Amino acid sequence: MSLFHFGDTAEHGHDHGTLIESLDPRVKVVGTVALALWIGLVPAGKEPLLAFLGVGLVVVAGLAQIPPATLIVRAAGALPFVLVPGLLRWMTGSFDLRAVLGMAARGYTAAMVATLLISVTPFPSILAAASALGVPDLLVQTTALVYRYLIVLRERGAAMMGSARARGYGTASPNRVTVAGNMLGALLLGSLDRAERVHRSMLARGYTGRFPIARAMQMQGVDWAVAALLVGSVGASLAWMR
Amino acid sequence: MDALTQPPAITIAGLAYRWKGASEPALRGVSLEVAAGERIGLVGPNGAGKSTLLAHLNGALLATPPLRIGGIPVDRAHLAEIRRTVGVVQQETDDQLFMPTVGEDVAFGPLNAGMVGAAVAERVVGALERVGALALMDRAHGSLSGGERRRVAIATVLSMDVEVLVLDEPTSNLDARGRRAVVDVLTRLSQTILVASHDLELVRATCSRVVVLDDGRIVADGPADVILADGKLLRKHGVL
Ligand SMILES: Nc1ncnc2c1ncn2[C@@H]1O[C@H](COP(=O)(O)OP(=O)(O)OP(=O)(O)O)[C@@H](O)[C@H]1O
Ligand SMILES: [Mg+2]
Repeated sequence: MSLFHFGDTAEHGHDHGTLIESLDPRVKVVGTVALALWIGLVPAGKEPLLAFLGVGLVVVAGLAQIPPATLIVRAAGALPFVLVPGLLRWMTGSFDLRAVLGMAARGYTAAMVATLLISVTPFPSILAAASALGVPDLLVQTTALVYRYLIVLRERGAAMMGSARARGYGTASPNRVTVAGNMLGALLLGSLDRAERVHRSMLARGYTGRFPIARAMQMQGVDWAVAALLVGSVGASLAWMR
Repeated sequence: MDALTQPPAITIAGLAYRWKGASEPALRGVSLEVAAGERIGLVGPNGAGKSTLLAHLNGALLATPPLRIGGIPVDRAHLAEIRRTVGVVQQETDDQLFMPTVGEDVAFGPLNAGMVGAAVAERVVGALERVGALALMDRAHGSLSGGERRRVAIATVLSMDVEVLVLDEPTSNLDARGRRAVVDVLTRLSQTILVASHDLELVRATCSRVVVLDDGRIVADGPADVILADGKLLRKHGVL
């Protein structure tokens, strides 16, 4: 899959991977938002209906050649966050298993939707789409920067861990916690330095504080059709459930 | 502007610079004039001030009175123009490559310059072709070898169609084949080139003029074959 689409209309819609990958990123962002809305609006007590969406997402992932297991496992990464509110309720004594399970189900399906979006759309395209859809510039640019810094952090973290492992660091090491702490400190400081050098290199290439938008986006027939289908079915099913 | 009245590509007059917190200045009055199309090798021992000098060329550091690039002063008011004119390939390629893929990284400069669509694609393909890295277009830079990274870093600057190309240690950490590839790329370019390096073979193969910098001062400046043949001079200044 090419992460970068230079040309626009000519190559749009066919030669870049699957149909889902080559959809206009705006359609995918709108679809994601619509589905998230649907997840939030499913009436309490009707959460089992979320399973239909879950199955649908797995099918779509399959069509986009993303192994369903990947989607299921990655989305599970969000579960701890989803369960925190339940934990809080339990501690304050207002625990209701059904409510907590319902919330977990909503959180998990929402995470599946987000994971799917990220798997089929390069991050810069998501940003470009959000910007084109009228998301405030400040928010888009800040997200772009955070994304850059996260990549720097991840790369350096992986390199540091590799070097530590090569010198025998592992779960059985003594002062594992201290070492990890030191590493984290060095990682944050080093990344700050590196991020600053990267920033200088960006300035040298004309960066003025706005991430350039990679391609002129163009809605095709397929894009409109998919957008209409998504928004239409979300609206219809919400109306039906009331 | 015709060739006769063309201003020098680079004019530096009495440039001095002291880093914040440093007790000694890194540059102590450097004057240098470079004609358009000239290829200069900047040599000197560690800490001589080479990188500090290069940092002034694209306005990463600003001086008063300002340096001039093609007649344009390197000051705050002209930064955007200077950055379109001067391309810098940093010593650490990791700092130069920051987009998810090679293609996106090479497109970064042209996109910032306001280009879109096919024009950007043309620049990207052209720049990658010139460094022999077209096949790497969709790769993530984490997956590239050191030599590939270096060539891609050069391409990120070539895609901006700069007139002056500044390179800091372009062959450090490269094996013989990687170094040859960089030499090949540089000899084929027509830009004004300023390259700081400890690699005298690279300088010999790519530069017509050599400037020796030591302790923040220019201690020799002349034709590459003359300077590079002067073993005594080079040894005295820790270059050989
Ligand atoms: N960011 C900085 N902060 C403080 N001092 C610096 C900084 N960068 C360089 N210096 C100092 O300025 C002097 C010149 O350094 P510079 O990096 O320009 O040398 P160089 O000729 O490029 O050396 P090398 O061959 O090692 O790359 C050195 O004494 C160095 O310690
Ligand atoms: Mg240096």
